[in-house]
Amino acid sequence: MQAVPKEDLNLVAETLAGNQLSFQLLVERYQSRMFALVRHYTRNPVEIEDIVQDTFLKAFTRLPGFQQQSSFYTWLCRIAINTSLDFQKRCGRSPIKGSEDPESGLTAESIHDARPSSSPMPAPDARLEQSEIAKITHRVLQELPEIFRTVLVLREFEDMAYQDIADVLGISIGTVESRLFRARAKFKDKLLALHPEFGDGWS
Amino acid sequence: MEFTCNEAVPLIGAYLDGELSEPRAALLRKHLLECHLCRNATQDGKSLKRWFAPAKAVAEAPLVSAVPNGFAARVARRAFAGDTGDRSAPFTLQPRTSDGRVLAFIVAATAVAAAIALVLALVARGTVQPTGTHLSADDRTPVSLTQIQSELEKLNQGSAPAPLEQR
Repeated sequence: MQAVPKEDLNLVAETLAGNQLSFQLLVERYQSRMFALVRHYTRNPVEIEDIVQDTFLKAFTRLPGFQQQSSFYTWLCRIAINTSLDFQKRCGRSPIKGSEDPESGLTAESIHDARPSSSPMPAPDARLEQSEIAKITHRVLQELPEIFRTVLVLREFEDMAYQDIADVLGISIGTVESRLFRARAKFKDKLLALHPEFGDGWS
Repeated sequence: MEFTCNEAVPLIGAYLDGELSEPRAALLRKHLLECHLCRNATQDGKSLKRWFAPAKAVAEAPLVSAVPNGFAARVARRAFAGDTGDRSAPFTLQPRTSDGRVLAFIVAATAVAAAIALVLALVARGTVQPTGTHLSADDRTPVSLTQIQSELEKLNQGSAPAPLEQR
């Protein structure tokens, strides 16, 4: 687990004491990362700004209850993800649901079900531009059920440790492991479904 | 103890992420040496990560400029003005002073403004009263019911039509 940076704690304490500038500094510190995170839930710049703004406003309201066992950033991520999902619901956009019992372990059947198709996972070809690879990856992510997309985003884009992912999502480390396993299998299957050409001797 | 394939495969991702404890990582490495199918699964995991690295780099580049100027200051102002960010409830101004001085000031200022508006309305009403003595189309002088009846009687007397002759 990441140690809580001293400066964050100071800024939190000063904000709680009524210092508006300290809260502004906290927002400045994390605003870019929040914009990046929320971008995985909507591509509309206006919606992204609204969700990030509401994330910080909710964080301010809940600041007295901030448990300093996790980092401020981890805590903020949890609020941002919930705010993004609430926003989708209010707009009538139900995220694609994935069926998973969060507390269940991996059985032989579930491993078999989650196991990716027999085709090997294609690596992106050197002929593809970085922007093209990014576009394909984001498109595949958008097609994944929300619980699998979120866990992949936190691991692959936010570089979060499993313990931090567990804290953000309120699940056990074992569930993080099994959810990532399923998410990666689904990513591969969806990639090959959207781009079957990659499975035919692409790499 | 040795891993079976069903035990090894779900751990490959955590192993590549560096999140597997050393005892479990040692068991997995031993299994990978002996099982080419699970080695292929490990290669799959490495290939998958290569889709995310460029996507992360491309995603991060424009985001620094994606944050609007003055965003943090605006959010901090709204937070201290009482906006909770809860869009299921309408935003109302909530003074953060514990003794309610801001609220008292707003109520007092509203009352003074209303009193001034009332006085001005009364003064304005007095200044638009007409002073003429005769009735004209744009004359707004109030006319009593008695005056109207009197005018009607004069008209009737002067130009009353002759009664119809009976056949």
